[in-house]
Amino acid sequence: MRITHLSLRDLRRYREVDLDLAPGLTIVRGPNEAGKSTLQRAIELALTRKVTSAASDIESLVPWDGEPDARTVIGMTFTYEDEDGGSHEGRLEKSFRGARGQVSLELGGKAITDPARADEELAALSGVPTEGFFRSTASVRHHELAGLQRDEGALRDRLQASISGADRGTSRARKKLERAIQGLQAKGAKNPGRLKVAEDAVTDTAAKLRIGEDALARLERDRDALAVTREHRSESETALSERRSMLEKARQAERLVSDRNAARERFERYRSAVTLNDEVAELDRTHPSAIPLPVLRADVERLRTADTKIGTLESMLEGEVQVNFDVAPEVRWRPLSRTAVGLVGAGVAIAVLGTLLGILGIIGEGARTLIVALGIVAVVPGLILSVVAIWLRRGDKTEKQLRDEEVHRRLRGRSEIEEDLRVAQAERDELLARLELPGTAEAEERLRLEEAHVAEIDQRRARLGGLIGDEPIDAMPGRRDAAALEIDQKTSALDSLGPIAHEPRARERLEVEVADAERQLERARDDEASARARVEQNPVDAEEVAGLAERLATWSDDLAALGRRERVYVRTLAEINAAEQATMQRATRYLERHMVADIAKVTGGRYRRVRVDDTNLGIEVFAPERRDWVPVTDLSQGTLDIVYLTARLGLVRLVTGDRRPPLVLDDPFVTLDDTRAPLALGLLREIAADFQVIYLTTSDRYDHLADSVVQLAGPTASDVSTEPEGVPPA
Amino acid sequence: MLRLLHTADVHLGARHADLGDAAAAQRERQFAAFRATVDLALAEKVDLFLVAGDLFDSNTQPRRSVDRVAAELARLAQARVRTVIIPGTHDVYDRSSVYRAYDLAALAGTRPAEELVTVLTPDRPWIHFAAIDAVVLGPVFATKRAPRSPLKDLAAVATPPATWKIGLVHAAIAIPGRTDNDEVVITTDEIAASGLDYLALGHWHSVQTAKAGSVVYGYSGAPEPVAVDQDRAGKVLLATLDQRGGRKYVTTEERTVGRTVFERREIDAAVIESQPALVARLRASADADLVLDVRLIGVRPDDLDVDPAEVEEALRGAFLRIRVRDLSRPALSQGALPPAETISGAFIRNVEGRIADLEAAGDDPAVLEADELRDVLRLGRLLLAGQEVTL
Repeated sequence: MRITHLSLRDLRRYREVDLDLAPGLTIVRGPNEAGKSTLQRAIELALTRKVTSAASDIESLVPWDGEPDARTVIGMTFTYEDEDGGSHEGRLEKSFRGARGQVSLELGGKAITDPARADEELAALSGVPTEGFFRSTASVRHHELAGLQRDEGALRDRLQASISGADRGTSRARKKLERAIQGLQAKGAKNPGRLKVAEDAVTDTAAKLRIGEDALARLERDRDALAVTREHRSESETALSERRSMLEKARQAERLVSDRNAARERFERYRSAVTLNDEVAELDRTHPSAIPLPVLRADVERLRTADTKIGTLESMLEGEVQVNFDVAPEVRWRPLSRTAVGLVGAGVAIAVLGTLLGILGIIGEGARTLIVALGIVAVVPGLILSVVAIWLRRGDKTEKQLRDEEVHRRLRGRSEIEEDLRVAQAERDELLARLELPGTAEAEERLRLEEAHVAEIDQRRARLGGLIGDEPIDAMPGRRDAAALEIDQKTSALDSLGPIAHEPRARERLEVEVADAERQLERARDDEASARARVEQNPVDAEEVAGLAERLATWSDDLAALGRRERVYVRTLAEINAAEQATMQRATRYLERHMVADIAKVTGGRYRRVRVDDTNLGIEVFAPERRDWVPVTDLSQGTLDIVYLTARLGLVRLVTGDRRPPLVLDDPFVTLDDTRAPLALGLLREIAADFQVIYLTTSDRYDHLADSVVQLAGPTASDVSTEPEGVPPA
Repeated sequence: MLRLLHTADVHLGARHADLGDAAAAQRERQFAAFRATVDLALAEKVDLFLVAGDLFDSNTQPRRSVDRVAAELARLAQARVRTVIIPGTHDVYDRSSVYRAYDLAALAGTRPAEELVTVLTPDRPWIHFAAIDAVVLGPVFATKRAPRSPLKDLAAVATPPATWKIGLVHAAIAIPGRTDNDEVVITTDEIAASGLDYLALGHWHSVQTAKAGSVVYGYSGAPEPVAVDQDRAGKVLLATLDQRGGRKYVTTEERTVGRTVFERREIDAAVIESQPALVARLRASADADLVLDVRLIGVRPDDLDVDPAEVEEALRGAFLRIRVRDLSRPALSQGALPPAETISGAFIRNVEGRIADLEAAGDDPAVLEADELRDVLRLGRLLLAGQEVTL
């Protein structure tokens, strides 16, 4: 692409200007403030700036003395080649009016007015996609070279900017990203990064929330447990109540059974009493004898006596009694007594004799003892015989009395006996008559029967007395019936109590169960109290926990957004680094190949070897004096400028590929001496075969090398007035 | 004639994770809506005040919340308005139920014999009000997930004879494919066979009424919206049951008690000129009762630099809550690309190539990574071009 004509209206110092440019090398020469940089800026804007741009720098392009509605208009005519190498002419006019900006691009007879499309077409023609790209490649400003030597990294940065495709290189982008990442990732406690702040907040809030949620869950569990214990307590109370009720029934049953048994006992007693009473009455009514037993017994006794007497008397009368009172019985005791006296006397005499003899010493001791023993032997039988004699004498005395009685009776006579017999018989008869019995045997039988009867009555009465004591016998039937009624009532009451009334040892069992149930209830109450205490002691507030959850959600969202932002920054940095690394390797190899000839040419063959560091674009040349590689920053400013420019132009070739943007150079050779400057410009002339070169300079030393020279007039107006009011003179 | 006010799903103490620092205010608004419901019941002199479940958002609500509710119920009781409440799925009548933990009737200062405040439970599924000739049946379960439909065999439940039979159920009406996993589900056939005159429903937060057979039923919805998608919330139902000429007539009327409005607004990032323009545009619809959920969608041009947090901060106070989420995707590179031999050109081509691969993969992780890479592309492109970018 080669610009053949450039027209500017209302652009900085230009109200309106038209310039013709050579397709090869054009020198635009003018003094300071002649508008050279404005021309460079106009070409940049025309090729890259969207006409609808609302950027503030567009506003500042309008001349100070322009009309109020003046807007910058840049027009150009240019030639371009198609893919077949055919040359065509195109026209461009851009009117910068903010959103109302207009563009007209004529290509191949077609006019394009859509700003975006027009810029796309221009970028395709020039190979310059953006303004920054243009400034970093084909548009070289003078100030870029200034200070290269002062700042070792400046050369590398600027070359990197060229290769970055932007006018500020990657370092600024990298620094900005690194700062942003640092700002996010800083872990220090004093100045924590936003990520750390968010992470800490999430961690802290999550921990608090977890505690809160745990407390809420515990509250639910405790309330659940409280409900369970409450139910358990209620069940225990019910069970205890039931057990107590059953126990009361069992006790009631016991009392009823006891009462019923008592009633039964009374019933039996009263019933027995009544029966006995009836039996006694019956027995009283059926005595075998009409005569009371004592009288009967006395009568029978008398009857018995009478019978004996009668029998005796009759026997006496009939001689049935034999008494031998004719011969006196022999006295048996007398011989015995005499013998006994004799023996005792003899024995005593012998013993006395022996003793005397012994005392007198007539006989010896042995003889005396023998004699005394003989005396004793005689005494003992004598004493025995005397006892027998006494016993015989007593018998004889009784027999003598009987014999004397017999003798007396015999002496009374028979009539008296008969009289006695009659009396006795009369008495017996009288007794039998009274007894209405035929004989003593019947009387005896009657007495036996009566005695048995009376004994029977006495026995029953005794039993009756044992049964009722002092109670009136007449009340017995009523009491018996009352007892029977009570038995029925107690039985009904027992039946109404259910099976428990009939269960043996139910009270003992239930007392144990009640005690168990009481203990169980006590435990259930304790459990309930504990559960209630746990519920009441739980200080959790669901709304506070909700607030924590909500804060956590907010912080989590922030953290996620920051995390995403961090990932984007880190990834962007990594992608830029990767792109830079790949690009730099290609660029350094390209530069090493293409710069050598240019540098050798400009330096007159002094430097013929160049090498470029593919990590930072640091350039070294082989210095013949030192016979070593030296960084270009160690060389003179002029040489450095040449190296930079050749590298820059080399990069333009690299990055624009088959496109040929116009090169606009704002006097980059200003530092070269008069020997090297033409050589350098000669290099540009060679380049001008491929690229249109527009060289802006204040010097005329290049005029003879140019295809065209455009001379710009310097500023004409001068300040003739006094200093502005209020500002003191310099 | 019997008049009743039907509400449900108050969800007192609900969590609003999406409302941020406005959540507490929204909880307060939910209670305010409940108080407004009580005010309406008193103003309309209704006979019955029905709460069809989920009065509380959970069973672990603090005592002060229960006390506040009890104070409102006390106002109803003082006006002799009978309140009947059933537990729902959030305040389910399990062992840790808030209704077991606290005796609402006692806290409201009523005596059991008055039956002015009644919580129906599995043990007490209905209540007969002889004075108003009505029976309220509220079949509930002790589990969050119902073992059966609460309306099953409802018509066979033996209750004292009354002119009006009113049902109180917290359940979803069966919609195949949508309610399959719901905890409590009923069908319109069951409603029609319930023998009720009016069925007060809870569980769905948007108001709606309908008729199944001869049974009029309705969801009152939440008196104050609980979430963004409850566009028909904020209402209660006023029902009138009348008998004329031997025929029963049931009419319902929606009344508004809630204030909060939720709105989800999507804005195409391509039409946003700048962040200040976006703020100005949103400020135009400022509303202190509005929870505005703004989503920037579409393709975001490179020159649009929007920080959602800054937008939210700029509009703080203009809304009850504004949430701005940038779901837009940065544009891919437009126009002529820098040459491939430049760092910028290589960067753009590398990243765009990876984005294309990921978007072609189509799965969620790849799409998410592609979205991030679009931001990487935009950021790197702008930074390499030397443009100002807010980081």
